[in-house]
Amino acid sequence: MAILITKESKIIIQGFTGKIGTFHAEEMIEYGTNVVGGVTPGKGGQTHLDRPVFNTVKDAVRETGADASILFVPPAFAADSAMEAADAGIKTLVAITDGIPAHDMIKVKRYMRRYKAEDRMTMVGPNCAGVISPGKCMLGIMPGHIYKEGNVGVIGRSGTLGYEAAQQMKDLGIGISTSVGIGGDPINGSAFRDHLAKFEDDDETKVILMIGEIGGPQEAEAAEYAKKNVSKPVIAYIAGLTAPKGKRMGMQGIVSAGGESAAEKVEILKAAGITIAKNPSVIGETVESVLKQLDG
Amino acid sequence: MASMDMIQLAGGQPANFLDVGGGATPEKFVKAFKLISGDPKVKVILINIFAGINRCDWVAQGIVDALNQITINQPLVIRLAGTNVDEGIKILKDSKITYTEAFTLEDAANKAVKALKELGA
Repeated sequence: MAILITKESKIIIQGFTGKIGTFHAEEMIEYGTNVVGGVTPGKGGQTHLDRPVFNTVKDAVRETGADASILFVPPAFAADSAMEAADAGIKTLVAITDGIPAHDMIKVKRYMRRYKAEDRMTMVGPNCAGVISPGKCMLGIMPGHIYKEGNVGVIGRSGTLGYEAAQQMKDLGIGISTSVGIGGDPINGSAFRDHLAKFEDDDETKVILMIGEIGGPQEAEAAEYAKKNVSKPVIAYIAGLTAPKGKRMGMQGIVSAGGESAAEKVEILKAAGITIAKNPSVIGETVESVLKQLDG
Repeated sequence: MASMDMIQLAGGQPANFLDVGGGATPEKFVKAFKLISGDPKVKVILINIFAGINRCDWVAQGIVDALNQITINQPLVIRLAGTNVDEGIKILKDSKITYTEAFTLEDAANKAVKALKELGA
């Protein structure tokens, strides 16, 4: 089954004809993703990569039946595009764009509340690597070949660490049902908790791996949620045990002040019964040991 | 950030952290090398790239072009993985730059700390 996207998902690309949109559209198509078209305002009626271009998401959904979208729109226009997608009936939206103002994201979050929870679009990102259901569908910018098909559900903030984990698991023969990159921004479309709920309901997913880091309350909220609502084993790695407090690290919108430190997060997760991978090079091994316990 | 955790675990101490970000160009690498190698606290330089939106061949070319323009005095450890990794490694190997190749994050951290110890010896 996987979550969010499957082989049947019909994908459109917002910001289809731009340089980045084009490159990643080609990668996704090559992976076998069912890309049915794209949106670039003003270029409706044209054809790009043998697929139709539309002026609006509404046009694209009406003509192609698209249910998922990926956003490569520049930061200033990204929030508008996200709301357009929600309005057009898109069910899953991945926002790759880095640098969307936090204020714009607040607007998007508020806008989404006009839809009933069960009808509401799931927004993944922004500032993320996207979603992949290995062997079925890739809605993101990740290197597809490092993901093996299987039954571990992955949720992570850092794209690179998600790759690291996928590669380690593949080397051990462990596969992934779906990997979700929720992104590094302080305000995101969906958090660990949202995807824990989806993985809990997914038959294909046996265990869930969370890759968190310093900054923000999302990991602690997820721990509390998992304790009460998730029956499947959860494994976590938290990056930034050596990070200095209060410094902004890299492209992630992480400031370690505000939210727990990595060590505090580890304690909160442990207390919720979550298995901790002690360092980034043993993520694969830790998942392997939990899977073995499950089988034995 | 995980690279820093691994360095600490291997017995080293991160001195400076620089994220090259997506779309790493040779100009970016020249600037990055200047910044990092100019920091007196930096004894060894570790480059860890798992390319997604980046591509290893671009990164490798960026490193090689940058090092053809400027000289760094610290030993260099490079670990590349992800998109176009084989092309990237080939570019590094075919170039004249001096570096230690690493294959995993753990390997990279261990080799960086080893290089540091060799400096002290």
